[in-house]
Amino acid sequence: MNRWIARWNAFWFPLTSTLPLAGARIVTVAAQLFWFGPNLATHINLATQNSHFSDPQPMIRLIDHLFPRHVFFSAGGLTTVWWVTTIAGVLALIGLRTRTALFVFALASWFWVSHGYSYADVHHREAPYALFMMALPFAPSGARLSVDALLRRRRGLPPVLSSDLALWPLRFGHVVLTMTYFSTGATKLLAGGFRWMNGYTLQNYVLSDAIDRHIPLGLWVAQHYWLCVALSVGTIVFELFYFVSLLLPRVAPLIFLGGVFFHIGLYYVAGHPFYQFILLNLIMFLFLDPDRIPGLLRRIDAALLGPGPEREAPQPG
Amino acid sequence: MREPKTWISVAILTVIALHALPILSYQGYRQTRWPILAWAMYAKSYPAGPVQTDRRRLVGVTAAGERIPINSVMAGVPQAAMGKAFIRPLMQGDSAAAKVLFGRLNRDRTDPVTEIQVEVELFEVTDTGLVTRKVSPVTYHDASAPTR
Repeated sequence: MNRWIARWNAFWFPLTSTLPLAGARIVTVAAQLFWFGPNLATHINLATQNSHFSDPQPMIRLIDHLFPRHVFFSAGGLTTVWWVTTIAGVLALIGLRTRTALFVFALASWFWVSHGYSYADVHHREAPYALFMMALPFAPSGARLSVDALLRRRRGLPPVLSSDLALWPLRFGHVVLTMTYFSTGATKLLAGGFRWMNGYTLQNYVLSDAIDRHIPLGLWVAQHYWLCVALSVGTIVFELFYFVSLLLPRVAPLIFLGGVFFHIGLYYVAGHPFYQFILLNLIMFLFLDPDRIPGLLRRIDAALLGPGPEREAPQPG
Repeated sequence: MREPKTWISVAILTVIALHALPILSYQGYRQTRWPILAWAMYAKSYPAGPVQTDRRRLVGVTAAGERIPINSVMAGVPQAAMGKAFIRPLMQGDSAAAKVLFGRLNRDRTDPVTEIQVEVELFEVTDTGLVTRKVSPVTYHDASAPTR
């Protein structure tokens, strides 16, 4: 038993630099704040046009149970939540009261997605990103590249350069991504065996999406049978074997980049806006391995730490 | 008090274990357990045969005779839910869905929508390229509208 616990801890909780986590926090929050953020007018329209939720998500069910509908699901209520989201996002981005701000921001972001998906329309693109975002407050995400770190330095306290809680959110994001890809690939094979790779399946899907979304490249791809055979085999191989990135850290960066290009390809051929998956793969590529932190971040961090004895903690192994 | 690593470990295991729920109790495309979802999208496979699809859109005709495309904002549902909420039911002859849609469209209109049409275009990949064909629209009239 102790051996298993030691293995578990070695995987999730090794002593790691806090810099990658800080970088991941900034990229994640900035993207959520400026790119994936809610469209307030759309949410107000949904809440005011509908008198009830046709498919309420768990968070919405809970809120709807605890509060009268007009408290949250009115123009005033939603506008208030929008401001709370924005303020928490800005604080999480600059790293002031980082962990509290991150928690509020993640919770508020869950609220918006849950609300949007409570009217007979659920998509998968936000789920792993949302889970990853919710992990960030429970790690020292504001220990570096943050106002909190500067204030700590002003008070004469030593910086938190490394922590055994600094890697688990990134590992968690990686595991969730792996689960989702494997599940997607496996269900394709379980539903129809190898027939998913017969070319006709992908032709039908791509044609349908390309017509619906006016995508010329998709129309072209849908008319090329052998190209669709090759792309469908590539899709299954990528989804089923993404987990290799968990087992072979040296190959992992290539698989993460493969993930980025896989979703970019899906976007240009079929219009699937899996931006969160692109970003999550990119975050894994940039920050999962502490040795591959972008030089720019190192320089900013060094400038914030200022002159002194503080240097990166020695890395384990 | 247990250390954070224990609680975090419990949380990680819980989230991973929860992902078995949508598999054991599959809800189809109307999932209500976000962010714990089944990942069976695009799982259906097609047999060898014609590659075809259709494009459906809703058009409203007002009392003054103007034709207006009906979008998701007017219908009060997310864009991707238009099919599930209105287009598919209307194609299947669901007049209750038409009544709801008339109500939403005419809430603030001075020139009310008195007719809703579901227009369908068929597309098929052939050896000579993409072939398009129009199908006669499914039409609904607002029973509550005054007759002209």
